[in-house]
Amino acid sequence: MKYRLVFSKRAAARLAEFPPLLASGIYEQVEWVMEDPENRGSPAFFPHPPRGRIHDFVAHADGDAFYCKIFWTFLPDQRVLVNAVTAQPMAD
Amino acid sequence: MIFNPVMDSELLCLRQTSDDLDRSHSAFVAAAQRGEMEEVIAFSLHVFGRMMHWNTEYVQAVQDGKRPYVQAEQDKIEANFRVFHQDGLKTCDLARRFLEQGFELEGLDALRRALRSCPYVDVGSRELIEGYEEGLAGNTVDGEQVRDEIQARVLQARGGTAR
Repeated sequence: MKYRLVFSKRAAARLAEFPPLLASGIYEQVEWVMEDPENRGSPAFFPHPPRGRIHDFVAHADGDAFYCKIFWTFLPDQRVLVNAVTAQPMAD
Repeated sequence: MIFNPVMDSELLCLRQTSDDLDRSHSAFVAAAQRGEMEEVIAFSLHVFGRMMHWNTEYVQAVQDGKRPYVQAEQDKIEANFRVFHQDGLKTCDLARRFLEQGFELEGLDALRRALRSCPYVDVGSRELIEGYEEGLAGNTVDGEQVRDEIQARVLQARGGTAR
């Protein structure tokens, strides 16, 4: 099934705050998720049906490593909403 | 106990938190009877945060090879979570109806205040919930637009020319 990707304004704004390479790395993971969102990530129970999912991964930018998460939810009309993205610097 | 654990002793966190949730549930019922929306939503988020934690622990244990992946076990967990979370579902349905009926400010404001007062919801969960609320309200950006903006920023950072 082909899904249309949308971001919450919050998630889009968060990506814009990240360094370009980190934002690019996270978006690559979003694209990977979108290839088969039904089978990607771990299920996360969300207080509205349908349930959301989380994909976590490590992204690298300018020599630094970040622990990142993408949260997404299936919406009607074959859309996938990226609710939020987070990135935290990893300790050495 | 409002939670009927079916898991083995490896998932101790389920049992460790069940008493905590029992106490919260009592507070939830009392708050609902008093019509205190903020408290009711806070409880819902509390449970949600706990479930996120349990689920993450479980998935991590499977990924680390500490426990085998058993579909029936996962199904049991999900079924239990659904039952356990029914009060939370009702709460969030109520909050959503608030929004759908045009009481946007009241609904969102209650949710925001609940988020601030709920210590059990981590940053990611807050982002998820608030982002989802944005999505429901139609505050979204097309994925292709996001991609184009990122590509332009990468190009700029590398000394090229943004489109």
